[in-house]
Amino acid sequence: MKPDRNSTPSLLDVKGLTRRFGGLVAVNDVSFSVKPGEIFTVIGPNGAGKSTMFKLIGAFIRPTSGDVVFEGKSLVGLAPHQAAARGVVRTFQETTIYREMTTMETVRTAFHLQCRATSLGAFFNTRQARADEAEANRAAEEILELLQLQHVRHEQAKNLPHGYLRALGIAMALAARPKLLMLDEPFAGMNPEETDAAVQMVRRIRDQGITVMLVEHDMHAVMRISDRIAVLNFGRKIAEGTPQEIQNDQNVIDAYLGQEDEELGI
Amino acid sequence: MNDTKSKLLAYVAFAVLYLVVVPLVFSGSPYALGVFSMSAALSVIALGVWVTFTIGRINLGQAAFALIGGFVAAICITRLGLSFWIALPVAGLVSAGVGVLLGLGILRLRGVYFAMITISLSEAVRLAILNGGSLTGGATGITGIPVPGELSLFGLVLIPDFASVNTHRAFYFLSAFLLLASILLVWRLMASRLGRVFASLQQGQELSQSLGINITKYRLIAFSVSCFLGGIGGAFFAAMQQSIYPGSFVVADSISFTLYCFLGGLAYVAGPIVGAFLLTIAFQLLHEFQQYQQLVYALLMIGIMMWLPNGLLSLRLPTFGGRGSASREVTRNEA
Amino acid sequence: MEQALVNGLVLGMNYALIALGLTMIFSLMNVLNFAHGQMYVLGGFITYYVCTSLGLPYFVAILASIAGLAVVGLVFELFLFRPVLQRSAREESSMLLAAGTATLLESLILLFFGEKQRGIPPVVSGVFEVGGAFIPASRALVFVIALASIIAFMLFMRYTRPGRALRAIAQDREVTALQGVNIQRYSALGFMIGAGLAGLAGSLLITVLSVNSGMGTSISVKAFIMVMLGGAGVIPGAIIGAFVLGLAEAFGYAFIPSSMTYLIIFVGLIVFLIIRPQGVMGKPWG
Repeated sequence: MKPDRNSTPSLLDVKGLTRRFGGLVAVNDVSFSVKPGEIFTVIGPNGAGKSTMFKLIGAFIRPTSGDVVFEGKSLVGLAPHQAAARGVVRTFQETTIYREMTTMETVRTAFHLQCRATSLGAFFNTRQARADEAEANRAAEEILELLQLQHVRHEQAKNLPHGYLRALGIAMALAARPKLLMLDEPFAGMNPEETDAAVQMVRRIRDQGITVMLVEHDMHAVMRISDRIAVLNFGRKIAEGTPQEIQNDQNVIDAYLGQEDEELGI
Repeated sequence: MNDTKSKLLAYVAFAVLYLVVVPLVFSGSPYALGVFSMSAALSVIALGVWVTFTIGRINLGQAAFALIGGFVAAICITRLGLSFWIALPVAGLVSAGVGVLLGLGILRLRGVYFAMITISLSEAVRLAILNGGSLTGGATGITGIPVPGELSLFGLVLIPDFASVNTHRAFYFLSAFLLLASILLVWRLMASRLGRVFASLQQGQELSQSLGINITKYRLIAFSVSCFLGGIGGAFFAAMQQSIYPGSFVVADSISFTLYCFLGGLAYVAGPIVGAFLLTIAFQLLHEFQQYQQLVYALLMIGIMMWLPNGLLSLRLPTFGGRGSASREVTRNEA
Repeated sequence: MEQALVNGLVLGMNYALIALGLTMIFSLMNVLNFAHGQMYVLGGFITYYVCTSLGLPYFVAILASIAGLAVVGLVFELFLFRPVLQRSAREESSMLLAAGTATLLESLILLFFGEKQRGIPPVVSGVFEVGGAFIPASRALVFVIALASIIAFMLFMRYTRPGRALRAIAQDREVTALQGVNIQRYSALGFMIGAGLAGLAGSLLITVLSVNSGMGTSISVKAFIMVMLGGAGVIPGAIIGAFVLGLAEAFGYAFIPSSMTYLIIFVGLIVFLIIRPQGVMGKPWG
């Protein structure tokens, strides 16, 4: 691990990351670092390249140039499941779920990375496979409790109300035991009370020692929760800093806050 | 795990009926035993198709793998002089190997694309065998395959030479053994973590990747099991018929295997088996309507989709419930 | 060489009719019409019946084939696909149903028209010579009718109200429905047109290649190849796929044994799809 400018080793270093789609530059020479235990947010107007950034870090797509370094090792060129195995796990928006699995089945599936038995071992139900299953059950219960999903554990995902789906998405990601948890718009469409609860939830996750990275639209929640924020506009990073710094940054006000009413529909 | 236990119990009851009662009742009828043996072989092949359904792929290429299995076994026995007992696993493994090679490319395709490419595969393998020259015998295929010989280990005879016993009954027991072993294989697969992973691939590939699941690997596992079962079924078919032709398994058979799965019910491990036995036996009983066989097949397929989309097993037999969606959907709607 | 080229173009033009129908039904309803080959065969048999048994002119037979298949398409859509698609969006359901309709059509053709190979003699006689290749007038006629039909089809899709509605539905079903377009009626129309095109192709090609009741599946497989090559649901893709296959077939038949030709085509297709799964013109997905 190499020390960064503040001499705390960072967990994630995004270095000069660029991704083109044909003629369009979705992400343009973006760099930032996320430190362990931080809540780091990437914000920006629609089409600013936030979700492309997410996909790049999660190794779902490859950068045109630049690098993504996690715990001192590059993630570029890995398959998404390999990035997940390194500890980089993302959530999706709530329509991306296992529709026909119950809450319990979903979380147990997500426990995949913790299973130590090989495929063959699982097939023959070896001692290790049985231990995995028992451990999966135990851990799943724990996660369901954390996210208050116990009472819907036998409900199929497609029958769950929206609020639960987002919690289910986070439950899945937690079951994969991430070091860096990337949440895709966790507060979208929530009323203030729901947002409050969700903010508490994200803090609890961070308090468990998981570094959290958010992509968000909702400025208010982001300002309350984030340690540091990076702002993207048209694929470029236009600002980075604490919530206070961002709120007072003229570039950000011009690019983003100025159109907040329209963006957020407030 | 009460569900698993009762499922196991049902399987045991089924096994007793199948292994003791049926061969006793029909011991004097080679014809009936033949029909049952054929049903079992077709069940094994259709089980493979069912396994590909669990990863969300519609496999219309199973005829290709049954043909590969049949010809590999026939070539091993007649050209290389190997024992059937070696040729059988070799046939399954070669099929699985071909499946892995092809699967690396085609498993990335989804939905109708996968269906179209596998249907083309059924045709392509038939043509490849047709053009196989003296190795495959071309259009005339390979005939005069000897029945399985003795299998012994350290002088201990495990299985007698089929020619020296009641051959039909011997084939019946072989088919029964293969079917039960296949059921065991698929049931273990579905009951383990792998079954959950397969279901996750069906319902959200990207999500599975993000959770650290190597989707390429698990798709290949499912597909190679499918191809293995196709190959084993094909090899048994070649041994029992003592011949195999490029036309032994064609596109229409690939579609029939899918029909078996649907008729029994996609949500049940037993689905393809119920479907295969019912249809194969029904057509033997309706012998005089043979020229209408195709019409009956067609009306059945359409009728199932119109009125029984979850298959026969969805009507009752909850103890046979396996993984999957349709069954639960039905229960929920009725509740 | 020139002869193979000419044959390939004639074949490709007719294959385009088949592929266009298949791709149309697919793009409108997300249904892979397994019965497409059987529809082609039925078109051929209707033409044979009208020309030979009824003794009517060939052009009447063509119209009868188109109309007959349009009716078949309408019946399939109204009574089979519509109820099943309404209940379940799962691809498996519509696919087995489609396979069922293919088998149904094939067995009905067998019952009504028997298992004999049927063809009709060339409608016009004479041979043109173009640059060293001989083109029988009958093939030229088939080529011209197919070309005219494709142009008519493209103009219909581009400049008429129903044509634009069909394209809109293919592009985005939900949005089009919100705009007040009657999706169901146009799905039925699309199925009729798709089936009618298959019937037309059968009617035209029976003057060149005879038909039998069992050949439907192989025609369907050819149609799948064309659609996979070009990209499913894309009109220019279907035409490209059709000409590639038509030419490959004609050149293959001219120089190597026929079953080997298709083996090579299949192997080529699989390799091609591994490199480019969405086909030449298809949109990337997944």
